[in-house]
Amino acid sequence: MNSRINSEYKYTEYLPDYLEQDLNKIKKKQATTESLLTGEQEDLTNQLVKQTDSPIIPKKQDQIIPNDSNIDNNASRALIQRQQQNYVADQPEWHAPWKLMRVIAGHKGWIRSIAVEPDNKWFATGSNDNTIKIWDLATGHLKLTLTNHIMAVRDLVISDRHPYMFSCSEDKTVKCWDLERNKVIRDYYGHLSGVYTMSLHPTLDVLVTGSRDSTVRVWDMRTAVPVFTLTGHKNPITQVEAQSTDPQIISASNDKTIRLWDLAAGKSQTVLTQHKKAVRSLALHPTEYSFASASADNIKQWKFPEGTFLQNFIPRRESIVNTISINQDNVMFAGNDDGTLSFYDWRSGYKFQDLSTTNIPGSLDSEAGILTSSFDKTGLRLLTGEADKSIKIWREDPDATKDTHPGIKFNPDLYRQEIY
Amino acid sequence: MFGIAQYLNQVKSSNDTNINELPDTSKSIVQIQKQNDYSDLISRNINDRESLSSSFSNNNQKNNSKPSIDDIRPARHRHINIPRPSQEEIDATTERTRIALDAIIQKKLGKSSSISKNDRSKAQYIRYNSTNILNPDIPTSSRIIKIVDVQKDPMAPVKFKQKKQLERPPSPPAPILHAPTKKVSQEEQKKWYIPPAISNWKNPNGFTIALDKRLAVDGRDPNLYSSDKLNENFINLTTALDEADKKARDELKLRSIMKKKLLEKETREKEEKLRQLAQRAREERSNRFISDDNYDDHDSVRKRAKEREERRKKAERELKLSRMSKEQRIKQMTKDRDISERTQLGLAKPSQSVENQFDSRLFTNATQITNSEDQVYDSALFVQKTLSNIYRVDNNNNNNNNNNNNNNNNNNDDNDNGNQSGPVEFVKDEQDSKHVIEKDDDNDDYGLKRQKL
Repeated sequence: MNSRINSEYKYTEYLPDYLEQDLNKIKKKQATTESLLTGEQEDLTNQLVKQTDSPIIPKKQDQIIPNDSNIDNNASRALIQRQQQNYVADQPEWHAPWKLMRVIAGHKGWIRSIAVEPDNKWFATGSNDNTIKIWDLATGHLKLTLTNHIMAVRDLVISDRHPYMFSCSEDKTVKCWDLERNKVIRDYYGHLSGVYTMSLHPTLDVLVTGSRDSTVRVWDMRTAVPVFTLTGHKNPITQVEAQSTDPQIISASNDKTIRLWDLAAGKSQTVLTQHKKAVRSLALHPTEYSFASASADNIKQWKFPEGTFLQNFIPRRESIVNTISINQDNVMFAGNDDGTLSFYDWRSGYKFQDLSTTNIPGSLDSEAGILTSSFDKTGLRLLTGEADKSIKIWREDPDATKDTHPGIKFNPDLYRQEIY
Repeated sequence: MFGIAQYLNQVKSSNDTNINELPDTSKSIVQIQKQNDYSDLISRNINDRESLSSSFSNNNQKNNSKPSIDDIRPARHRHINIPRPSQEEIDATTERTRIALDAIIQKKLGKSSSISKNDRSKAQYIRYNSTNILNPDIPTSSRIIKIVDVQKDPMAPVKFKQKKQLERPPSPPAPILHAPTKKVSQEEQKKWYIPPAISNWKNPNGFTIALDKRLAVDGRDPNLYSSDKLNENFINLTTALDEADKKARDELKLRSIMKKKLLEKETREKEEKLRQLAQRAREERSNRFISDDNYDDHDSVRKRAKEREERRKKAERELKLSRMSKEQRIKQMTKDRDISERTQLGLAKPSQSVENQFDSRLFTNATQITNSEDQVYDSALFVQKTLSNIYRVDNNNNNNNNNNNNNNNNNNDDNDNGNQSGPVEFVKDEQDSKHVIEKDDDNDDYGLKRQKL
């Protein structure tokens, strides 16, 4: 079937010749209409025409529309505004570079999950050493160690509407911890294999878990009743996310697909098959109605609700992305399996920083790898859980300015190479 | 794999009425290819909300076939602001979902509780009125029937074999919207090769592990024991100790050298004294002889000449000695030393001190030859040179002999005996022959003897 689809789609990757010709015609037409409209300001329109030729204009709105008294023609202004709306891909927004702030060691295994508490006072980490540890966010001191799982703790969620923390583990169990008593109060029993990921519904008392048995299960939080078993993925689920509007569940899997689920019906709503490799991570944008998915081939940006592909994050890096997370300031972080960190501007999808993690002394080169990451609630600190058994806290360089740290140079040509 | 064609087949067989327009699956695929749009097919799903992206551009609103510039740029440039849904929308979906989920939960919870109720089998009572069809005149009899479930043996084996149903895919396969994956080349595969973990304790395959890796596995901080964390005073102390040690050793060495020199000087002086004494003694003796043989003039002259000769020789030897190097001189001296000097003085005694009992050179030799444990002796028993010469004829001697033979046949025997160094040579006895052998040097080029008849 793959080969059939490929054969069908091969020629759709590129524009056929007749389309290209049509395009050129349209462009010419546009140019002529513009020149007719503007009349006297021919120089300006010529500029605009040039801009239409290149799909990306590395300029912002205020730069494109000069406050010049020459442009008094309303029609031309409207045209310009339309043009601007069409071509937003401007210079990526500047972000301060991130740097290492603190290294916390204490776990005896890989850090597989990090969750920050809603009040931003502490955070919890789950590790391959079967324990969950709770750390003070400000000081980095260990507050508590929770042991109940008998295998690696793969994901943690702290509810912002209950005093509960949920943990899921490779030992097929999902546990609910009461944070007032530090005890397990509920077990969600039913997965046939290790549970890799979980998410809490923001408005309903529903817990969504994704497992190695390639099912997504929806649990009623209070009664621990499995409401749905969402089947459809063919390989282990790597990450699930839940949100308050449709599609309420998004799951990524090793079978290279992302599925958007209709929670009310318990059915798959959309399947996104654009990824070429296993999708390892998902991240919802905190303010925009869009999300990103990371796979070894590309990090892709999608639009809700229908799952429209928006863009690829560029430039691409030849390494496996283990985790991505997004903060409120439109910074997307991607942690790679080879211990490199990449920071992207969300809007333009352009990478502005690339750095590699500092190994803990005594650890091997091969132990460099970012396994999980999370921004804190303010988005000013980045916590990463790493394969060298350490938790690292990163922050933006406070002294950096646009002039001192311009970041990776913007290359608009890359957009053309990475349209799909 | 569950392909689209198969799915189409299934759909067709399940409800033929819906797909009247697609009589053949292959045709339908052709049609799809033309349209390049699966959406109508996909939307045939049970779920009316379901939508699948079916084209790259994913521009669902765009229905006109005319291509636009939007086709060649990322969709992000069209969607600048993507606002989150409003609170009302969120509330609405939440409410809708909550109701749906509640129903399911209640059903599940209720079902689990009703099982126990059903288990308690209650008897049902039915009033039964019998009617005779053939003869309706007969009055009907009515009775009450009690219906009870047949009691089941809970331990009895299952009557029907349960067959596991293969799970059907819950939704049609989604069209794959990415280019086929590139085949991995050998080099790329090599890049991804992860070497096996090697234990520090067990290594039956003999893998090599770099030293730093071995240390790193130890888990300790390698910088912990580095020099920059040592106390500076400790370094000073060690260096001072080292220096003192060196100085003491130098002094000791100097002292021992000085001692040796002093000793040497003493012994030299002693020897000198002894020699002088011996000289004097010898002179006295010779004087006595001279005084005895004074009357014979002729003899005394000869004797004086002899002495003169002796003295000259002695002087010559001393001159030679002085010109010789130290080693040679020592050798010569030991060789020529007149032991009689001491004996004459009555001083010669067997050495008794332990120090001089052994030749120190032997010790040094022993240290030099330590190449193999098999070698017990310091040097070879037979020197190679003499060994090889034992049975070899000395050519020079031989020639001489021959010449001699030719020259003077008469004293041949005597000469031969004296010069012989190699094994016994047999020579033709020429004395017996009655022919006179003429000496003919000119013609005897090759050492061949020509005989005259």
